[in-house]
This record gives sequence, C-alpha cells and structure tokens, in this order.
Amino acid sequence: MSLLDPECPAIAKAFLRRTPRRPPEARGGGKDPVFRRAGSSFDLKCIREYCPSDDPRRIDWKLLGRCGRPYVKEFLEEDRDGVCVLVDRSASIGSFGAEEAARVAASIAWLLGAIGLPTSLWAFSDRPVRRLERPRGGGSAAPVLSFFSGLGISGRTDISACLAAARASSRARRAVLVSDFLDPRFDPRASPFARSFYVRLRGDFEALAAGLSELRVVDPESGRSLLLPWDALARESYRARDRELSAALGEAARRGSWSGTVESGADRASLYWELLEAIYA
Amino acid sequence: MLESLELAPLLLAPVAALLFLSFLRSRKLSYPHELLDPEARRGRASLLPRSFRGRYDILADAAIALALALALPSSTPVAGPRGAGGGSALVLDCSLSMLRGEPGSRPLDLALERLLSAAATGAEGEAEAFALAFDPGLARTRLYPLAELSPSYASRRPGAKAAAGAGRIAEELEARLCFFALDYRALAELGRRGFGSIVLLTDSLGRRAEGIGLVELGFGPGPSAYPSAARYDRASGAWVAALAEAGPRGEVLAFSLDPASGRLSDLPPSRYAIEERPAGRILRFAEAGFYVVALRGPEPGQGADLAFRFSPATIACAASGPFSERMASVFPFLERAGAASLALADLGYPRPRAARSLVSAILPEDGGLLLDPALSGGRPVAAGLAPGADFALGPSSLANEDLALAYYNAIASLGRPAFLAWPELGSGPRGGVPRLSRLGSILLAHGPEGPEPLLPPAAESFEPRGGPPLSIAPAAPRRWPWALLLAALAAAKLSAWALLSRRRSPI
Repeated sequence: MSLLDPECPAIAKAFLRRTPRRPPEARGGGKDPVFRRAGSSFDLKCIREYCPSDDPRRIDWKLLGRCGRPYVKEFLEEDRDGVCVLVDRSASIGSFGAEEAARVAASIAWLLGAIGLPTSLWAFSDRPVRRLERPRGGGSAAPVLSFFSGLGISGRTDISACLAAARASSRARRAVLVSDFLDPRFDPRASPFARSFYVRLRGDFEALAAGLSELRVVDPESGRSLLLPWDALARESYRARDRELSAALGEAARRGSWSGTVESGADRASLYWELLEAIYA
Repeated sequence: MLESLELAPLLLAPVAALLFLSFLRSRKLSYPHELLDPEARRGRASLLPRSFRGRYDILADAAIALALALALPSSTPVAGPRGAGGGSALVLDCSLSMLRGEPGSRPLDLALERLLSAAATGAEGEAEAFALAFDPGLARTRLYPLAELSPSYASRRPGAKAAAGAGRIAEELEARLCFFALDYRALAELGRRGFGSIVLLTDSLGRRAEGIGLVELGFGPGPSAYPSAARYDRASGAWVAALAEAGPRGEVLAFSLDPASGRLSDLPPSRYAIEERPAGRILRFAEAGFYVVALRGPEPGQGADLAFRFSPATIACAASGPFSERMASVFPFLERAGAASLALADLGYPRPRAARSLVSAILPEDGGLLLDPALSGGRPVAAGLAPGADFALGPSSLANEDLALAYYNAIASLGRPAFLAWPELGSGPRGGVPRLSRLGSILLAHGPEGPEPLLPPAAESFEPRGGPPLSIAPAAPRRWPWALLLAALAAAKLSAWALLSRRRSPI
C-alpha cells in the first residue's frame, strides 16, 4: 500500500456507500446472445441438458419434475463497461516527480478497481511499455503495485499513439489518462475513446526556478539544452503556455471529457473523488 | 596607460561581482521545453552569439568599465612625460618689441642675461630654455628649444660671464628667428609636455598672466610709430598714411617696392610729401602702389619699417537692379568695368561676378527694427533683416537723405586695406591664414588678391596697457570621443536588452 495514497481506501469505501452499483449504461459485445459469454446476470441465455461438468446447483428442478430429465439454465455474463487507465512514464514526468506520478496513477487505478470497474492499466511513453488487465476490478492492491514495480521513466511522449493502441486492443470505451500532456502533437479533443478523463500532472517550473536569474534547461526527452534568462518575459511566456495547455484540456472537458490538475505535492483526495463522480456521471 | 591598467581592475571588480552573483543564481534544470517557449527568444536575437544572450549585460558592463578606465586618465589634465610637478621651463619672448632700445640693453639682451645667470647659479634648477617666436613658414607662433637655435647657448660654460654670452646668443637668435608678434597661447604646449613651472621672460606683457610665471624687463625705450590710417584721401587726391608717433622723431625714407621681385627702389621726393603733425607725421603719396616707409633714428639702431599697398582710387564695379545701378552712378570713384572687383546688386537680380559684393533688398513697406516684445519675451531681437542682403531698404530708408552716406561707408569697408594688421596670430593656415613671405623686415601675406603687407600689432610699437588676462591652462582633453564610446556601449546594451526581451523601452 506504500505506493497508494493513504486516503484511497476511505475514498473507495465512501464512494461505494454513496453510489449503489448501477447497471452499465451501454452493453458491450455482440448483439446476438448466442455469441455472448455465460455469466451470472439475470438475463437468460439458454436452457440445455445437464452435463457432468455442470454445477448441480444450477439444475432446474421444476423442469426435472415435469420432464424427468435434468436441465440447466445459462445466464448471460454480467456486462460492465471497463476503464482504460493510461499512465505516462515518459522522461518528462520527472519534472513532476516520477515516484509521485506513479503514486497518483496507482491510486487512481486501484480506486477504479476497488469500486468494481474492470480496468485496463497501461504504461506508455512513445509506445505502450506495460499492460495489466483487471476485468473484474477488485480491491487488491498487489496487482497494481506489481505493475508499477520497477517501472521507470524514459523516452519521449506520444500520447496519441498510445491512446490509439489502447483503444484498438481494449473493449473499454472510457479512458483515464494520467500525464503531463507535454506533447505538442496531442489534441485533447481528438481522443479515440468515447469519454476521456484527463489527469494532468503539473510540475511548477516557477517553483523550480525561484530565486534564479539564469537557467540552463535541459529537456529530459530530447536532451536539448536551453540557456534561459529567467526574467519577466520568460515568466510571462511560461505562464501563457501553461494557460494554453490548461485551456486546451478545459475545451476538451466541455465536449464530454473531464480534466483535472494535480500539483506536485498538493492534496489529491478531492481530485480522486471528482474523477470517480465524473466516471459515474 | 599605466593609470588605465591600475583603474581597470577596480572598475571591473563590480562587474566581476555581478558575474559571480549571476553564476550563483544560475542553475541547470531538467524540464521539458514545451512550456518554456524558446522560440520567443529567437528571431533577431539569434544574430547574437548564444553565450552572449545570457551574458550581454555583463559583457556590456565590462566594456563600459574598460572604456571608463581608459577615459578617466585621459580626461584629467595631461601631465606629460615629466609629470604634473615636472621640470620648469624658461621661455624667452622673441617678439619685435624685445628688440627695442640700444644693443646691450634691449629687453632681449636683458632676458638672455637673466637666463644665463639663472642657469649659472642654478636658481631655476634644471630649467629648460625655449624661445617663443613667430614662424612665417607655418604662420604661427611656436616654441624653439634655445639650445637648438643658439650654438653659443648650447655650449655655454658654467661660470662664464652672462653679459658676454647674451650678446652672442642674441645675434644668433636675430639671425635665425623672425621677430614679429606672438600668440602667447602657444605656451600651453609646455604644459602638455609636462612642464610644471613656466616662466616667461618678456619686456612688458601689459596684462595679468595666469598659469605661468612672468618676468617683465620693461618696455624698450625709443621712438614708436604705427599707422593710424592709410587710405586714399579724395580731398587732396593723394594716398595718405597717417602715423601715430611717440618719442623723438628721426628720418623718414620712402621706397617703392616691387612685390614680385622684392626689389626696393628709392622714391623721388616729388612723388611723396611729409607733413609734421603733433600726433605724428602724415605721408602723402601721389600714386597708388606698394610702398615701404622706413623710420630711422634719431639714435642708430632705432626705427621701424612700415609697408603699405595703396589701391587705385577708382573701383571697377558692375551693378544689376535698378537701385544698385542708380547707386553705382552716384559715386564718381565707381567705374563700370567688365572685370569688376565690386558687384552692386539688388536682391532678386543676378549678381555680377566680383570679388566683393554689396546686395540691397528693396522692401515694399517699412518694417520694425525690433520684434514685438510680446513675441520675443521682452528681449530686443532685431527684425526686418532680409536674408542674404547687406541693406534692407523700405520706403522710409529710400527717402532718407543719409542713405548715400551709409552706402558709401559700406563700399569703403569693402575696399582693400592698405595693410593687414595681424589680429589673430597662431590660428594657423587652416584658419584662413594666407601664405607668408619675408622681404627683409617686411612680411607679405599672399592672398587671392595678391601680396599684402603685414604689420605687427600696435602693442609691438607702443607699450601695451590693460587687456584680458593671459591664461595658460593646460588644454582640456577631448572628452567627446569617450562620451561617444560610452553612449554607444550603453545604446548597445539597451539594444541587446530590447532584442532579447522584445521590449521597446526598459522603463
């Protein structure tokens, strides 16, 4: 549990108490029930003769009384819409803090599983680097912790490519993207998922450069160096670009997505709650 | 240069401190460039070297500090190689008045004796002797090291009789120098050379001297004469040279001079007359020409040579414009000629080609002589002048009966003088001084209108009294190049700031 924020269990417990589990909004899978998997829902899939491998508890005893032969009822699998959790592990995350970024992502992934949502956890940089499927969710932290174990940060950021890869290989129609979004090629409005939830990890450059007058800034992804007089113009330019990025995420949020910002070192409990509410909205 | 090297570290110390502070406040950070907008610092600023972009202000400050280090020593008075309290200089006045009096007691002789005795007793220490004399070749006053001029002075022996040596040195100086008039401002050169003490040995300066020591030996005795007027007298039909004289009068000899060949010829008594007047003699010449008047005596060795060039009584003129043509016909001494030396023209009419011109502007109505005080803030400001015109004549001026007199005076002032008094010595050939030549004791100035006699100022003939004090301060160093350099550096710093920050003004 060390990688998870300590308030996560309380958040999951409170959320489950407040929000009863609802049926999924839209069914996934094929329309022909024949091709749907059997499960534990109340939707009857078929009635067939009993075979020795079946569970005796599923024998329809009334039908056995009328017909004299054992039959079992099969029900359709309970179909819930999962969530893809994509975690940015490119080198630029280091400006926010690699460990703290992992803590945020792990907390979100565990929370989603803890409230029973199937989750597909992806780590990516310029390509997917690790994947964990939890089709039934679950409150166990071990899979999440093992997922982040030894997961470093490296490489460039390519959010669009990884979103496309996740969408192609997952049935989930919702995605939670945890990233710093410092990828000029990514357009938050062009996500392939039906609903996207953007969690921005914002490392404050002004806090890093406080008290300094001249900076040699090395880009962790490209390795390029930039000699930057940290004056009023540089500060204004940084703030303007930061506002542009926030505005782009906000614009996407108005189109059905959701966005939130996590400041390095700041309290995140409220953001987790808002994210869960947005997913269940 | 040494002072600059001493100053430079002191002035560069704050710059180094700033650089050190800048290094202290400089860090290497790892952060994505996407939000830092490095493009904002490109564009025109990319022309600057990359390392300069962050250090331009330090570099500019260092350049300014170096410029200041170089400028400060050069802006202080120049001490020269001998230093501010360096050696002393004894300067011998070699003007014409130093030759007044009997040989042996002339101011020049007395000054040389003083000089030699001072050198012999060591009263002046290691004083270096100079002669301040007029150089006709350069047409300016200059300083000559006395030892170079006089072999006798150079080879003098300590303890030798000063009077005997002074005579020989004086002869050598008279043979080599032109005793004329002096510009004492040339003494400032000694200050620039580093002489801390300057003593001038002269006869009578007639005014207070600042910055130098002055030894006045007394104005030499003897007769004095100087021309108070030299012009054509229309009443008598002769060319007149009126002399102002003091002291006993001697003989007057008149010669005709051919300036081309430099040959003097005796003037027959029939061609000139001498009138004795209480203030001085008046010489009347029957014809225009170049004359030399030699005043001799009454004692041997006394006298002076005066030269005059009298122009013809008539003036060849050309006129254009109705007013100027009428005026040209009013004065009988104005002759219409093709090759005119004087052009009379109305403003707005073509001006005839001539060496001198008089332009009159005929105005339709009278104007005020002064601007309205309401416009000039109460100060008297002349008004009504027509630009480019010597006369601005309205109806009232044209009706004035004395207009012809004013016009005559204007024409007379344009005439060629009979001699040139040397008003500003030392202004040098670039200041418009003509080439000089020497005919015996006569100096001729060769201008565009031919040779003209050059006379020393009256102070060489009569003892000068009063006048502005002579101030020999070290020449002020030229500060504007340094000011210009510092301004350029400051402008470069501001420009770099504007280029790099894309701001128009730092304020």
